Amino acid sequence: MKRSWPYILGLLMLMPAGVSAQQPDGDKAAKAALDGAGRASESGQPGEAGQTAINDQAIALGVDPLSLITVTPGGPPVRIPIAVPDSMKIGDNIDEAGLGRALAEVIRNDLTMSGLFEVLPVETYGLVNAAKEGVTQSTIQFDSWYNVGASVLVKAHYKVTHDKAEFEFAVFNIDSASPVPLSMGKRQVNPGNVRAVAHEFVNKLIGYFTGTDGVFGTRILFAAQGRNNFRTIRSFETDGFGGSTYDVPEAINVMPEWGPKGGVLYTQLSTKGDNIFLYAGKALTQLTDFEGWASGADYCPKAGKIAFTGAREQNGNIYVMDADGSNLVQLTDMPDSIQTSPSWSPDCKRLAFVSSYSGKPQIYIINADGTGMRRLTWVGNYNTTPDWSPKGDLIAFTARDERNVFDIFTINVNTGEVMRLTQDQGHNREPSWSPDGRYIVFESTRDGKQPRLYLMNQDGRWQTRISATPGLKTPVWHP
Amino acid sequence: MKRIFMTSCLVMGLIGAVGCASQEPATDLLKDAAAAMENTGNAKECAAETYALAQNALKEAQAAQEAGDVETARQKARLAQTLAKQAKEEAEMNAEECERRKHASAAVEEILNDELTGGPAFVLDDSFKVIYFDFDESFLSTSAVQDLQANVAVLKAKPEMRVILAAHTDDRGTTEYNLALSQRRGDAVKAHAVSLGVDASRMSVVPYGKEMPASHGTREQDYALNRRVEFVAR
Repeated sequence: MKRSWPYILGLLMLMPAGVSAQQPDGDKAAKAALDGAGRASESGQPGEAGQTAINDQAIALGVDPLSLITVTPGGPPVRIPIAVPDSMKIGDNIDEAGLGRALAEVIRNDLTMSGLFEVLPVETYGLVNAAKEGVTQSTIQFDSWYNVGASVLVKAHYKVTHDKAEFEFAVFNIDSASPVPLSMGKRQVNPGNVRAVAHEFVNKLIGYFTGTDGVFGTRILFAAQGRNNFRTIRSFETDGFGGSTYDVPEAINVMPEWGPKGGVLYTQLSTKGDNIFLYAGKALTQLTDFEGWASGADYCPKAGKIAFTGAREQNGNIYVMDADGSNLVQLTDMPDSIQTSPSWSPDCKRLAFVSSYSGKPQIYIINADGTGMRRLTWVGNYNTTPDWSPKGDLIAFTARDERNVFDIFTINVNTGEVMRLTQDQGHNREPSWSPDGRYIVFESTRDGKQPRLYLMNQDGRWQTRISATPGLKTPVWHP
Repeated sequence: MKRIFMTSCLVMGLIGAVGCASQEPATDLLKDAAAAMENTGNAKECAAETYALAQNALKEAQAAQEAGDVETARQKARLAQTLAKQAKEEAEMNAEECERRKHASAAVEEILNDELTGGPAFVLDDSFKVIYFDFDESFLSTSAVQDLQANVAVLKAKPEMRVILAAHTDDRGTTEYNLALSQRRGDAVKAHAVSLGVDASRMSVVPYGKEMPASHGTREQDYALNRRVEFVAR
């Protein structure tokens, strides 16, 4: 009768390693192609031979190599069933003003997005007489919550003192009828900060179950459709709320990035040339002065360096400069091709970037000193927008398949193993990792022509829309 | 109690008109607070937490007023008003996102809203032809070369004229690679014009990638119209 809650917990703790170690479960051809790609990259100097072998195999099967890679189920459904009833006011145990419901909705939304919990629908909580429950163990109706289907129960009570709300959180293991030790305690909250406390609680809850705190309530930066043809630089929290717009001059401002001094970097497209600007502490600084074109800054905080695409004559190439625009160094010098979209490795020692040197855009890797350049992707003919994971093992990127559909993939930097994360859901582009490496935010056209922002687990599971607003592009998660 | 307050205020008013402005009657403050709550726009949905705190303060103010605790009523009414204002500001920040979520089920409406207005970046001069490109390519096709020759003739006839070569892609592909691709298109046009005798310094390429479509549709012919380089007189 008892469910094996510790077993579920065990699976969750193992999940990051377990999932990434999994081999795709596709047909033999897919496996052969992937193994081929893996071997080719492992050898360090893959050469065109490896790619030719994969292509030959694919042509023999009558398919494009990229279509051999399909989304693979990411392991067993290990989400923990959790109940989060509306928070009640201490004393009368009602929630007349709706503050408790607002708090619980933020928590429920975060937990759903996390992919770690299955939030049981509030309508099914009717078995429990909530008016009789407090936040102490003796008041919890464990049998009733068990019948609701919950393994974990979140309770929060509140009271309001003058303009401050005071919350008290408690978490219970329903299967063992015992409290879960969670260091949150009572929290006094100013108006406007209720959502922040809800996010903090969820992050600690995730930390308890997985060993690493969550990242909900952190910010995501993006370019948004402005009036006329302008673009504005904006950011909001992981759930699409708490929006703010950066007060920079109206222009076609694109490809924002979290910059030095707590500011944002962005590219302004203009008849004076495309250039990179830093907006920090309400001051605007133009960091580049390329007559042709400079774009797509990527900032590596540990080294204080900005990588970007610059073009002096015809060719885009990768450049690196200091955070203030000084010490400009040209990293690549490839003729008659496009080099663009640099992305730092987390230790700032390497860069992934796009090069069309082989004819079509592919992902390459280069050391920060300009040595050791190698091609990383060998499957597909349009691989762009690399984003290096914070753990350093994976690079997420956008690829185009033979139907001219764009989807998000990851490639393991060391083994070359490619995984497809999105499929048959409109165009999916411009991935960016969460700071904990658990999630990827990306743009998707599955709801309409203009992209909206979505979230998914690093293996492609639990894809959730985080914003209903159309025309949001090139999201970047705060590191 | 209420009557006593009103009376004392009246008396003070007669004596020296002191205090009544700062000691506004609680009833007025309550009215103001209630009005502020009415005037929070969509804060109930879009700034639910602060709206709830405001509502709580207003209820406490009303309760205190009924219980005859005028000082508390006044204080809570002021608080309710402040919180209502804050909720309104928060809601305005979240307005677009929040409103769209309310109507998220109306998928058709969303798609209609996706059709953006606005046209090409520049008012184009009829004397120049737009140079079009093949999908994912930056080489000049035979027809593109012919159109470019016509533009070169215009430039040669007006030797003082300088132009921007505004270069674009269709909106498939990714943002930055498209930016780079559009620059290569601009460069291809510029290089060919130079080979036909136009001074390079008269032309500057500005890549716009996929950010400025000439057509917002998603048919193949829309994409074809967007893969282009425009001559814009400076």
